[in-house]
Amino acid sequence: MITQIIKFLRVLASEAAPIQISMGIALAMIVGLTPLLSLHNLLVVFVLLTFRINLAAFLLALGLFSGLAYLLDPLFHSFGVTLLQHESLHAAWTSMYNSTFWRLTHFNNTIVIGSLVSTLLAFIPFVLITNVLIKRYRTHVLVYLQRSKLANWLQSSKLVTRFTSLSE
Amino acid sequence: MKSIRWGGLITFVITMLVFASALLFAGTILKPLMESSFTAMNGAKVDIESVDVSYSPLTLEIKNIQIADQEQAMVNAVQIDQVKFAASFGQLFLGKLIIDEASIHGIRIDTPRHKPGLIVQSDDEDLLDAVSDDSLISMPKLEVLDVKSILASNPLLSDKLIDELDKDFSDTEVQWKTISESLPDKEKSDEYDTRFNNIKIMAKGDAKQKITAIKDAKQLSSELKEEVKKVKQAKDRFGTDIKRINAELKVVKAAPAKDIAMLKSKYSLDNMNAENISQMIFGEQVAGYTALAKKWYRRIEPYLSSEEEVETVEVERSKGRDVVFHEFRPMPVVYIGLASITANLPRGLFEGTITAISSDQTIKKEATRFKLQGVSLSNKDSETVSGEFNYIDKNNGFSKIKYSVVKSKIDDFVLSRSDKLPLTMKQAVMDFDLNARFQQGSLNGMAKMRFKEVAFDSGDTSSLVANSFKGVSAFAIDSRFNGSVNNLSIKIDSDLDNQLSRQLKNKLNQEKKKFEDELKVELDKKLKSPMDKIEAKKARLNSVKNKIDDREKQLQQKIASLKTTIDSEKTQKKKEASDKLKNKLKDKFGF
Repeated sequence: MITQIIKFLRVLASEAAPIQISMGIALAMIVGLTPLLSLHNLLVVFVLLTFRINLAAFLLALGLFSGLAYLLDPLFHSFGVTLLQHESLHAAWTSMYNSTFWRLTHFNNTIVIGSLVSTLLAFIPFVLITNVLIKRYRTHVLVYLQRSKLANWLQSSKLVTRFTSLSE
Repeated sequence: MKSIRWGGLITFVITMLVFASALLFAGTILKPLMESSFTAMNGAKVDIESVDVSYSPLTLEIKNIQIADQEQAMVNAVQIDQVKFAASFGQLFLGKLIIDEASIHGIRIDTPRHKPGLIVQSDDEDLLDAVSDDSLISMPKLEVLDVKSILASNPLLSDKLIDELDKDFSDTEVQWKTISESLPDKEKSDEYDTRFNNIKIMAKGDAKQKITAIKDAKQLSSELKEEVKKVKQAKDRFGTDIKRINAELKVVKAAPAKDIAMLKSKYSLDNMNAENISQMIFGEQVAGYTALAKKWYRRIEPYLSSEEEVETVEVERSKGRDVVFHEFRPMPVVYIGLASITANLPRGLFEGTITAISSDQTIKKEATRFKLQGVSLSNKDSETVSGEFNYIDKNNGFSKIKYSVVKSKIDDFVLSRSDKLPLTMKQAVMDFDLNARFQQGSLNGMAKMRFKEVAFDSGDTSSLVANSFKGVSAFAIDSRFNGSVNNLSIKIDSDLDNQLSRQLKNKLNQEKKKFEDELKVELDKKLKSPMDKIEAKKARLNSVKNKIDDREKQLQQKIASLKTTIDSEKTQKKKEASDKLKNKLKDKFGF
């Protein structure tokens, strides 16, 4: 856990653009909170590999969101039931249900649709907020920490160096 | 273009290509998967020679499927040379196997295996073996009877009565010998004659002698009367004895008839008939076929009863729930529109089709129908099997089957191996129709068999029933069955029973007559010697009787003669006295 935090702090302190990190974390949110073996996750992986998105941030956040998914599944299930049984959407669902492509997405599963719609809705706000938070971290928290005696001591400490080297 | 990570893109494309390339080896991947899943379904090994997949259109070709028998390690229950079908690619992605046309060629049954196919020891009872056990047949003991052994092994009334009569004769004979000896013999008779002659001489003498003669005559007469009385008494007693013996003899003479009746009754020639013989004989065959049908039913039952859940699929909570919407063109998980089949069975080559094979008939509302017809049949004009599996209404689904054979030639068909009735149908021409329906756990149906140009062979048995078959040239068998598969009630009716009854009746009448005649002859032969003895004894008794009669006659004659002599003497004496008186008067009075 400490290693993950250290790694995450390193990512935040890296030279990667904040948008790359926030995109990585947002995509991890989609993959982590929705069932892994779903067709939409193939698209996410394609985006992740094709565009310059921070993979380390993605992988670190994926672990976090995968754990979180177990807690949120009941909510996604309820939300999915609401969506799939909504009168106004019934025609659309029926149409999609009769399409091979959409059936492959497993959209008619309550957790798939609940979690996917939730994460897609949250995606852009999440990216924007994370982006702002990373920027603020770098300008305020990171600069303060770098200047602090504790940080200097930790950087010079052989124990911390050894620990981080072991962790890597 | 700086935002694009080319390395990542290439990695993604390569990964996708690797997965896609797996499709090229789909056949190699599918083969072990299919073998293991089919083996699990079958309960014995299923081997596949090869699986070839092509993608334009999606076609699957499976060659040489060997489905091992669950009960015989080195036998394939079914072997199929080739299964080929084109499936819908899109539906396959949705987990559905939709096939418009399929072909299944070279179906064979009970083919030999090169390696054992058992995976577990079957604990099914071997019904075929059980039904072929001869102990199930209980044949009537209709055999030609051996008269000599019957006479030797049965106590006869004739024997008993003859023994009793013989003893009675012996006792009577002894008794009469004693009585006979006490009666006046020749010596006594001669003595009586001598005395009588003396009386006659003395009667011609003087008055004194005459008086003595009269006295002696009276004495002799008295003695003779006494003798006659004794003889009469003996004769009366003898008459009683003879009467008794004659009555006993009459009973003895009637005894053989009673013995014959008793033996006829005991060996129940009168009660023999051929009722339900066809049930006994063909019941074994029907039970064998029923057991075979049960065996196959047990094999296909799991697939017949499989039903698909359509509305909702409850899964673990973390996996959510699949909501089902209306399908514009609903399809079951497995559907084969048309399957053409060729089967090379021991009965001949069969061709046919199966339509609408479906894992859930309620979806397309089509029943599965099949029809197989024999081609190039050598021993029959035609053989057809057709049927329907209709489970469109799940609560009232049914399966029905119709099987017919026209002019099937039968050679050396063993009907019964029983020692009591070894029976083989040497030749016949048979028409066969079977209609069966299975619904709600109950099997109902009827099978009709018409046999013509029949020739039975029952070997060298002496069984009357077996021999009765020889006179049957045509017959029909109708069997009805109903009940659950595991508790099937089978009723067999046949005009064979009536025909056999007629044949048997004729044979029985002949045998009955022969039996009676033989019995009479043998009984007469057996009783001749003791009866001759008895007749001889009777003759001896009759001679005793004659002797007594003669004796009585002689005595009576003697008495009569004596009486005549006495009377004559009396008359003469009277005459002499009269003459004497006349002379005295004449002398005195002169006239």
